[in-house]
Amino acid sequence: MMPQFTQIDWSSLFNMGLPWIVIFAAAAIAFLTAALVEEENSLFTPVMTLVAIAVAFALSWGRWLSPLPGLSFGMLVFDKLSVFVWLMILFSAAISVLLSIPYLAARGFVKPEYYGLLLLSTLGMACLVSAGDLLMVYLGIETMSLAVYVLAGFLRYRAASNEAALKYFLIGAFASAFLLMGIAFVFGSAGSTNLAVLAERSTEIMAGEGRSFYLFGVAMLLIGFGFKIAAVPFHAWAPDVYDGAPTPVTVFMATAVKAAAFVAFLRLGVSVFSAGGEVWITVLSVGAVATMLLGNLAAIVQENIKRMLAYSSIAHAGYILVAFPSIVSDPQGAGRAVLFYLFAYILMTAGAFAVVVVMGLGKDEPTGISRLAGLGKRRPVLAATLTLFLLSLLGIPPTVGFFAKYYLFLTAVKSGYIWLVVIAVINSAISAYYYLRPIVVMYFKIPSPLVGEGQGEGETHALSPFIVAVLAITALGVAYFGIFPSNLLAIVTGSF
Amino acid sequence: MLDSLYQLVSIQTLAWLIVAFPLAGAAVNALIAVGTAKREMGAYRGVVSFFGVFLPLLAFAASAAIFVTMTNFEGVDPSFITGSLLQWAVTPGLVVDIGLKIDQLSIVMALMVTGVGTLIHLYSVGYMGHDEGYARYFAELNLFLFFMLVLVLADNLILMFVGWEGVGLCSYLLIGFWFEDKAKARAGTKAFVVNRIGDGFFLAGLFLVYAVMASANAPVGSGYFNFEMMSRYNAYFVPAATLISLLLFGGAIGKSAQIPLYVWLPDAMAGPTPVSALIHAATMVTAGVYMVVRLNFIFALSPFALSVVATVGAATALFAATMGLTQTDIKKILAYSTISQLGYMFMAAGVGAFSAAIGHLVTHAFFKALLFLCAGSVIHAMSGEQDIRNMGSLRLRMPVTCWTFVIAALAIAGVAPASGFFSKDAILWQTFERGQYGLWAVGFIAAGLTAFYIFRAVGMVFFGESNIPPEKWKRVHESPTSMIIPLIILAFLSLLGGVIEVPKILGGSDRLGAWLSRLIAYETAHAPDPSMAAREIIVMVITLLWSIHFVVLGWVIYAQRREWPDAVAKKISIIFRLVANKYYVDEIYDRLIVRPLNWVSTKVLWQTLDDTFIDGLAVHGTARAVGVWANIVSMAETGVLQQYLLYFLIGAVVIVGYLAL
Repeated sequence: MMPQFTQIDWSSLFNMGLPWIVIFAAAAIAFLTAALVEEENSLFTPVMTLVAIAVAFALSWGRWLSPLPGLSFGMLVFDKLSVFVWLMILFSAAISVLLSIPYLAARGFVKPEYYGLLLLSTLGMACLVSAGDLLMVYLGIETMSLAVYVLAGFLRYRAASNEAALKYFLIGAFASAFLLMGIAFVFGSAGSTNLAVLAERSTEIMAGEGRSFYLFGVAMLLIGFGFKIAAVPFHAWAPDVYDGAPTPVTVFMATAVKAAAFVAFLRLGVSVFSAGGEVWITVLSVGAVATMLLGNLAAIVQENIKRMLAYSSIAHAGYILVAFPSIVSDPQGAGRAVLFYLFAYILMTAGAFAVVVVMGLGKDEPTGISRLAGLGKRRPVLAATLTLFLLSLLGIPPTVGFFAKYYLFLTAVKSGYIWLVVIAVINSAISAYYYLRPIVVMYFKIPSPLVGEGQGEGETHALSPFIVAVLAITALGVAYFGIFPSNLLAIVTGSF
Repeated sequence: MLDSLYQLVSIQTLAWLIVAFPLAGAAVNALIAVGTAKREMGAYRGVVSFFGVFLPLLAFAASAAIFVTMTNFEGVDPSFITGSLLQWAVTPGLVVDIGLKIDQLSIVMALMVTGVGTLIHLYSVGYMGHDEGYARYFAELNLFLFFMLVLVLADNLILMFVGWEGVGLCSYLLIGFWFEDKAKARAGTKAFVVNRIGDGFFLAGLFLVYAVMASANAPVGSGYFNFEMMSRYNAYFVPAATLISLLLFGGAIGKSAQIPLYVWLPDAMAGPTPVSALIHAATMVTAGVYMVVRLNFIFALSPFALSVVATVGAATALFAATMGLTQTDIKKILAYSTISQLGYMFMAAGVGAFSAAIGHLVTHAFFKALLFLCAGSVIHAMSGEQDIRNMGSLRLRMPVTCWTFVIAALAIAGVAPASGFFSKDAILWQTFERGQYGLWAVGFIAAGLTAFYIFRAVGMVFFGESNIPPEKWKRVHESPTSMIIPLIILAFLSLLGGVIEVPKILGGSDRLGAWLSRLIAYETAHAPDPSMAAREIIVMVITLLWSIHFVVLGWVIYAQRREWPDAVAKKISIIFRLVANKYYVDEIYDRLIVRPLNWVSTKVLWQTLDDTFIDGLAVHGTARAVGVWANIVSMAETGVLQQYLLYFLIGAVVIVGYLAL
């Protein structure tokens, strides 16, 4: 149970929480800057944000490398898993910041509080991935989400942005209710919200009288997480929100938010699913199939690359869910496969969205796939990078996307869910259509003169060094871990 | 001098350099070809020529250095392997290294390939000088040289196969070099497809080799296809030797244009003439012979397979020689002549005279390359004219080309002391000596025909009256120096190349035979009978007289009495037409194989099976179904928040409902 105040080792908690404090301090500075400083066009806040992220990253990395065992404070768990995932989150937050600088500048809407919100959301994710208790999960999710709701509507002069924020917020509130109700039911049936305690006692609970309450509670939790990871049928918000939100925020939602939610879900699953596994296996596999099918099918007909990537993101959530039924029999393998996939997914999705950011650096945001026509001639390097990311998302070797899918499906096959993998592979084949289409358009379609004019606007913008950095890092990552997957596998194995 | 060289590079590195130089040339020239527009080509011509010619020359120098080093070994086996540069395939059941093997056979081949290759590269500088695809040409030619060297230097059968396929690719690219011309592109395709048939057999042979080595429990780690290993596990090949030999020989039939797969070679003359000289006379087409000799330890296990090799070779030698009699295109004459000469080599290999086969391979490379280059020189001067009936008397205008061609013709006709005399005599005598009188007779007749058709060409092109219109005659000129130099060098080689195998009976020492003897154990096992000496002289003299007689006959008839053959042709018009139409073999293949296949492909496989079923129902049907579903699914995305919440709720209800049940 919860340790007493006096029993807590405050110094080691401070030690562990130092990166969080750095992030929090940076967020506070950002908000103070917003309130006190008039001049809005400076690079001070984003650079300060990046520095804070870098410091937090360095501290956490040191922690990950240190051979010390993980620490549990009941509510918070600092193990290799949480540190590793937080590193991934910091990485994608840094990428969002890098993309935001030119994006906001192009719109003349540079506000320091933007970065403050981003940092606060990152802090929420820290709680979420380190949560050892359902209440902490809830706290993390809410801290993370509240900031992201605001960020999604940050371009307040744009109707689409406002719509995105409102939809996200309303459905998010709805989902939070489910989550909270689930926590209540679990507490009612198990007498605790601590994940470690639940893991110990779930077999006992499942055999006892509280079984149905407990099941109901976990189902509610499942629904709450289903919303966060955009699993069908709790996904409907995702395309609208991803499309309407500012693109760097979309990147943040698609990578960091998703990774945090998935890892928390994974933690919950490892503690809870082992008892009464069969029930969850059915729910999870049906969810995986529905999510993959819907994401891939709907992505086919999208004309807007942002929406297409939104559906692709749903489809990828489906692929990750394919590994979840394996938690019951092989929690370690499933966890590693999921972590590997999340890492790969962050790299390739962030890269692909970065190209969308480049497209949107003009006055309007031309994100139609047809606007890509002729990109292969006009900007060969950019087109080649996007091709790399799309091929990786599709899962073509030697990109990291291939091995990510491979380990995921391998885990499922090892646990005997061959039919699930067959469906997943068929879905991968369907996804080839919409991932290859932008490539075809870029290299083989001649831009129509009308489109060409609008394009001219974006063309005048030279590539910002920040975006070049993002593209270079993600492309190198996709290629490097595609050729040497064993390095990433070693990191992942060390984390779970 | 060599000592100081070996202080800089080890001999193994030198061996790698042999293959690396042409590859570097190919890379540089390919970059130039890709990176420059056709208009800017002029500026790079010098660079292309330099790399294109100089790197093969360096490869030749490296081969020569190694060769000289090897000759200095006395009494010790000088062959060595480079060891593996890298392991190409590593699986529990198969290991393939990339490594080279330099031994007496491969170094001779490498010398010939780089030497003749360098000369032909030099010749190309003049011949292709005005072509727009100059850099592409040199890139492909250098690449060919690289693959050919991989083929001959490989230390295992798989790497050899890589070279084998690589030269096939380059042959395809270069035959169709002027691909804007449909007919030429088609000739390239024909060569490629016909070669594929042979390669199918070759591959099947490789699989069998694998099966044999696996069943022999050979150590996987050192490579099942390593020549060293294969010869060590020689005994295990006995049960499968016939089948393996025949399958591998099937590959050789395709690559070396033997009956029945020779049909691609005459069409391959569509490529630039230096290409015909290098690939379709001197080097690539001899790969089949090289392979048979390289694997002589397997072929020798199966007398039946060897007799098939010999019979096919002899039949091809005769058959192609008769077709050479009636051709009027100067390059086609040489093409059929090449097929016929390759037949000789296989006949030699088939009777077990492996070193005689290699000897003829080398001298043939000299004189046939020379014949082609002279033909190219003539074609160049005549602005593309190839029909010998429209030529004549060209010796007055092109003396160097004329006399070098005559030297080469004497060599191929087997007139002493030109190189061809020794190499052909070695084949015929060894066939006779082994009691294969039938094969010998065929070879003997073919030798006469060879002398006749080649001097027919000499008479028609360089002597007699000129059939060239006067205004064209004025423009005919001798070729530029870069083309003349290779002609002269090759003429010397054709004339004197025979020194490598002057038989003992003529006071020589058959150096080639001695040099290769270590590799060809089965040949030396056959002890020559001393009483044969007299017969050897007799056979030699008869063959020589027979050839000279036809040389004179061909030259006299076609230089002075051109009306005679027409009269003869009229008298035996049926036979003449049969031969002139190349025995209708192309037509027979067309009727029997190409058209039925085409029909089945078009009507059954394509229009019925593929269009209707696979494409129509399976592929497009699936795609359409997916498309329909995609539209249905995306219709659910209405943008209306209330509906989204409804989905949410339905999901929740379904899950809870499922759990409640």
